[in-house]
Amino acid sequence: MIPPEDSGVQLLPGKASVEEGLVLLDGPDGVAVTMTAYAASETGKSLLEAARLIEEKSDNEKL
Amino acid sequence: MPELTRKLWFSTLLDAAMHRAWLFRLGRLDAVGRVAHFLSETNVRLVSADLSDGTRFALGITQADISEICGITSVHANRVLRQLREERLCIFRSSLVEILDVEGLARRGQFNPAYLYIENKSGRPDIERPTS
Repeated sequence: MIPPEDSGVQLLPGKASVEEGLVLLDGPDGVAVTMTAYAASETGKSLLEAARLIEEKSDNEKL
Repeated sequence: MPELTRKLWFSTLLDAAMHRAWLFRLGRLDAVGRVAHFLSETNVRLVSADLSDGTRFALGITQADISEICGITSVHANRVLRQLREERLCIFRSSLVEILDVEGLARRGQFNPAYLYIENKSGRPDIERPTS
């Protein structure tokens, strides 16, 4: 299996900031997106939920 | 090879090299990097045409144009240009670009001018370039 760092999978988080009432997301890698507060909020929730599923699966495998 | 054929091939290969660089810029760089790369490339190209002194040049485009070129929104472009100014790398104001730190700007945009086949400082081209 190809290591994540060699397959384009991002290891470092992106950074969000606010500009003119919009959310700017820079990174990871070449990501440069501008979102409304709603879009940013929902994207954030979706990311958290996806990450939670992986963490849960990982925890179950350890038991 | 006839001179005209050589020139046409050179132009074609240069176009292809620039397209590859632009794909890299849009696909792999963050917003600041994209704008830094674009301004660095534009500076090198204008220097070769004697339209930039190496740090200052006229650029008759708007922030909206920069955002289109770099695949970001105009809000993002506005923030990026302010960031470049605050980091003392480059100032874009009233259609005039002033690069305060040429190497720093190139580093921020991961810009390597080799793909442009511009003559080096010795005055000799890095590759055999068609004569005009």
